Amino acid sequence: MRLRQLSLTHFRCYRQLALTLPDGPVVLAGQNAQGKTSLLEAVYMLATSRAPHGVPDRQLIYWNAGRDETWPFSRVLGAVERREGPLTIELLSTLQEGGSDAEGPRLIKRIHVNQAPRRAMDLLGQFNVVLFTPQDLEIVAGAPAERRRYLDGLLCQVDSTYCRALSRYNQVLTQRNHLLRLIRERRGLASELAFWDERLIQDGVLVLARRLEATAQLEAIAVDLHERMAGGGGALSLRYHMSWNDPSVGEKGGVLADGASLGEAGGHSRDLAADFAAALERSRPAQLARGVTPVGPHRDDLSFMVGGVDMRGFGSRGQQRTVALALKLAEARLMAQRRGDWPVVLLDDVLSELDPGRRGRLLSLLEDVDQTILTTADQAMLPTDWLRRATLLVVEAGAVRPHVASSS
Amino acid sequence: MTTSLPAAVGRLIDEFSRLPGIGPKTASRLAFYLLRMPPAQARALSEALRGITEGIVHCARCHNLAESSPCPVCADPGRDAGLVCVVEEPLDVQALERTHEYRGLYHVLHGAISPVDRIGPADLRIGELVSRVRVEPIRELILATNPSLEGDATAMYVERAVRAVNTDLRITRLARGLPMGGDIEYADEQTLARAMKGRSERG
Repeated sequence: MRLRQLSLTHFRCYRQLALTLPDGPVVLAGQNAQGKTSLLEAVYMLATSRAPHGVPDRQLIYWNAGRDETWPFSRVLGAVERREGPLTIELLSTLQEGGSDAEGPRLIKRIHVNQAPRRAMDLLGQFNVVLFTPQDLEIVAGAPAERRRYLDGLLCQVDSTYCRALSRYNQVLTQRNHLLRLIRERRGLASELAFWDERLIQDGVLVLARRLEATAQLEAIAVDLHERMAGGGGALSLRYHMSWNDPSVGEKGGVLADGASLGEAGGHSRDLAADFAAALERSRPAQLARGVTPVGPHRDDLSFMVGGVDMRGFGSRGQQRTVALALKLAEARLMAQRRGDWPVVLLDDVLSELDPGRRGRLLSLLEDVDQTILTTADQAMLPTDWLRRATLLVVEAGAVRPHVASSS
Repeated sequence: MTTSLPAAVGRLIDEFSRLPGIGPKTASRLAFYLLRMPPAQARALSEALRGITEGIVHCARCHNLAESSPCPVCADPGRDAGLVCVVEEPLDVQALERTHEYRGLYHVLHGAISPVDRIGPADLRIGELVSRVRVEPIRELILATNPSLEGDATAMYVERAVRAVNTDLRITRLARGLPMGGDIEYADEQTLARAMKGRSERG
């Protein structure tokens, strides 16, 4: 799929922008703090309705909108070309007086898909994107939550059943943890846990089974991509770690016995349900003492081994970055497999982190993608033959203009 | 913030802003609207407000809000006392009554189990329902709590509590499916899957 048109009103540093995107790769060039990343964030939001991780939603409205407008709002509009047919997505955000003074104004988001109002959950999966950022290194080097976010972000864009189950799972978990605290304060009875346990297991097993399936599929794709990015140095393998198999999940790797394949670890959902139930039962004293649920997919982890070394703790920065790139490339390919259409690939200043060799290999591995949009502060680092096929746009102070070539 | 206003107006604004969904701006707009109203109309409103604190009781049998106990539904000899429909709120009774399809009695729980809001089974009228099952000639209990996480938790808890004292009672749950005027294309999978499971025979 391809984004054909993007228009922004009062979005971050853009007062007004209307952009038509041509065929082929698009390079957004410009100095720092001119609005390159904001453009990618807008495209990301068209797919997910949310800002990328770590960007507060509230800041998405043009910083000055409140002063020269009576009503602070922002609008992101995109026209998408897909195998399934064209699509227009409109996101409207407004600040509204909240119910309680403490919270301040609330951000109200409205979503229209092909002019009809839709819920955020129904937008997911219509338009797919994969965003590469320098923070992707955290998928490998960061906390287990980063790796779960990687899997969840991928699955939510291609599998709405997963997305709904995950959202219910988190709701059940919140209720259950509150109940644990009520029981500890002797304001609730342990027998009340039964319902929440049943629902936790029901949605948790669905989440788990689909994560195991996705991990196996990602591994199959990522092995080759990693090989081509790294050019040797050992094969990549992925392992999914269930919290109940290892009390110290996320701190050390290597939980599954050597040689245990994902297929064996995956098992059937009936086994998973029984394992989850048993783990909940075993950890009950700890749950009641601490008021939290220490087992379940919300505590699982993923590990990446290269040549038998756990990249989470023992990889060099360079090795970790190569694994992270292979994982993001695999994410795009798996989305393409599942949806029968390529996601739009967004590269936010990732090339500057790489040596020229890996820069060229990354771009060549993205050759099949329908549309790649990348930002850079220095277009000189792009391979000239690649740049020849791309469209260069200059971003400056919240405006975008075509690049006028200085030489033929 | 309301120091330049008469104290009575400030108090009214404060009271309004305590209501759900009303911020300070809406609260002052409502207060000033009332100030400009004909005095008779404002008095009618204040009497209506007093009425809900003085003239309203809980029906001792079904715990619905009423002016007398038993409430008109429980007191009606034409209604089927063998059927009891369990709902979360009095408004749910009103909604079901509007259908004119249901001729049984009700039981209002006054909420749903939600640990986040510190509402447990003991805060609901579940014990009262169990007592009714013990002494009344009930054939069927219809669980009509909301199709939400909290509504489901409540239904399951009620079911277990009632089963503990009566193992033969028929317990049913409202069907879940597609809304009238809805569009299958835009229904979420959970709703569609439930509607498929609960499909009914034609003719």
